[in-house]
Amino acid sequence: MSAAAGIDVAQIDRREFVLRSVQAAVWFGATKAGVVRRAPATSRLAVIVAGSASESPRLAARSMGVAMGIEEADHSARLFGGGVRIERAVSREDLGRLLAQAQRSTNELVGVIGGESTTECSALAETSGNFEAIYVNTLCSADELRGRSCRSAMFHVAPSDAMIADARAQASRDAPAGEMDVQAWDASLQAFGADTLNQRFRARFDTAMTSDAWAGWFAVKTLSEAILRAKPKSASALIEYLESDRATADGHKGRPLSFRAWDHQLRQPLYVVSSAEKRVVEVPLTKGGATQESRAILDELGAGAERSACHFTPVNGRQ
Amino acid sequence: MRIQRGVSIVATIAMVRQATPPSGGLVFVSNEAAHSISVINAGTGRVETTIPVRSRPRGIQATRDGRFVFAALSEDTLIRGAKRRDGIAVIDVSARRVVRELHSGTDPEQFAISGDGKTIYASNEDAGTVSAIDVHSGAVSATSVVGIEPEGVAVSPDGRWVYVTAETSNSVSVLDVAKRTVVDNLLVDARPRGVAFSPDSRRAYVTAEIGGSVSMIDTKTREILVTQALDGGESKPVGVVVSPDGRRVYVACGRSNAIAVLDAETLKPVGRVAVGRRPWGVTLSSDGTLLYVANGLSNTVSIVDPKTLAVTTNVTVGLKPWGVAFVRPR
Repeated sequence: MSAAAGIDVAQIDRREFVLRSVQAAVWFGATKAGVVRRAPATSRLAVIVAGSASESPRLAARSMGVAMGIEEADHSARLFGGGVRIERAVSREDLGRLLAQAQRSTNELVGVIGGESTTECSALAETSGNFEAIYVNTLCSADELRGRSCRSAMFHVAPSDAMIADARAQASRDAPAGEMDVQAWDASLQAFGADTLNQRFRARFDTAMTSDAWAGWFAVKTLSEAILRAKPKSASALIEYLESDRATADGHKGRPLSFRAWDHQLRQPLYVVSSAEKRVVEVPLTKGGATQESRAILDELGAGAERSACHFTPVNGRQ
Repeated sequence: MRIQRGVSIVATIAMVRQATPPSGGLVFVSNEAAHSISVINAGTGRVETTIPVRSRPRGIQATRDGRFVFAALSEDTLIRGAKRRDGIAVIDVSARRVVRELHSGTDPEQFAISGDGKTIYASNEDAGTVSAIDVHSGAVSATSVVGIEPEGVAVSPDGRWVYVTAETSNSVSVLDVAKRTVVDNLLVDARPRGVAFSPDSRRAYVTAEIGGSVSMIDTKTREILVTQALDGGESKPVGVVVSPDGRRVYVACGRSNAIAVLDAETLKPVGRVAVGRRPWGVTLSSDGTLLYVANGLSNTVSIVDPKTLAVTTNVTVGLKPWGVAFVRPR
């Protein structure tokens, strides 16, 4: 497959799909760590991020989160014989070149992070799938991307509009309030290592960790951990693992986080921030059911399998 | 010290029994939010005194000879560019006061003391390292890279290994004490917290808070032999301690508000004790006859009889009790 075919986006507004920057490629492979044992079968991961940090506060935040995610993935991977390499691309041609290069390598998997609008996210997902890469959606909330436009190669760390609406509805039932903002992360969170993550981010960037920063950080973490744990030999194997019950990751939110097999949406607690009271409420609310199964609790937010309009199209021979 | 008859002095829940005579000795409790150490007389179950410390204490350990208790102190907030004042407070058990402070490397959370009392191994939470500190000189003699957010630290009873868990990297790093270097890293379930060795040093037990499980490691082959989920993986296991006879593993389950009792060979749950809210640190008396549990949200320490699996006393301590250390009678 040629690079040109992989990024054929003629139907999309050109300006819309200018890849403002390609920020990073993460490679596990170097074995500089002193101790090497139990190296995963597939030891390299490239993460390519589209979006200039300077163009919007959301992109700037995600960029910081991704940067921290890469540093930490590097540190963790080195314990198990891996390493990290960062590459940058400044155009979609660069993206195509990097994806094609990575695809030729027999010993690496590729993750793509980028996009801010539904159109961008959709296009990046398509391109990623064409190059046997996994696209992790960090900023696009449109239900359509989890429904009719879903793709096997696309996973969503960003909460969907449906999840956000459910979160708002739950929080309103509990304590009707005025203005409510639904977030995937909040800089005031404390429990289950949230304080440590918030402090680490603030110490690194001198600013608060936002939902977008968290999404960038977690997108890298979840891919790198999946590779360390599952040692997948192909993108299809990685997708299969991420869809399985075995794949859970810690996002410092107090529950094991996992992707829904039917639409690849990340199950996660959300935080309803009431501007009037400056109060942060975690949803789903778990009154008296603290040890209830996390998947069941987190599936209270968003579209269940029966309501899902997603039917994955075959990617790389996978149904 | 002669063992005294148990008298429940401060009981905060109804389930209080006095069936078992408590051990002698003292229990030191780090109160994270109160910036203090409560000293409980293990004979009476009474708080004997409270020792103020200058900042947030978490990890707490006693030397084997019972002369000193060490408590890790961290700054409450991290201000960029500001000089940190983290350290490990040294408490003289007889004097019941802080007599010295060791520099620990940054943000010490947990640590372990070598059997001879000469070396402290401390995890530096924000640096992803573990430091070996010479107790006599106070100097850091070695620093090793471990996973991100290192947490639990334990020295094997035979003195050969130091195991360090790391919460973000999901790792257990194995330090060879003689070689003074990390010789292996194991990948365990999400957010590993506590680690404890069997008395014969053949096994290590690691809790994973988000994974909701306990893993048993063969310290010779360094293979994970069994991973046991507790309460369907939703129990939030944190503190872990092994009985002196090596037959039982006690795990503080933070979300279940209980101690899970596991068979040390199979990790099958064999019992359960309801304690206070968010139990965290856990330790045993040196003779194994009483179990002490710090309940972080109840501001109590539950004293549990491992034989009957009943809470004998709940002792009110300071705000957010984090860790417990038993000091044997001298």
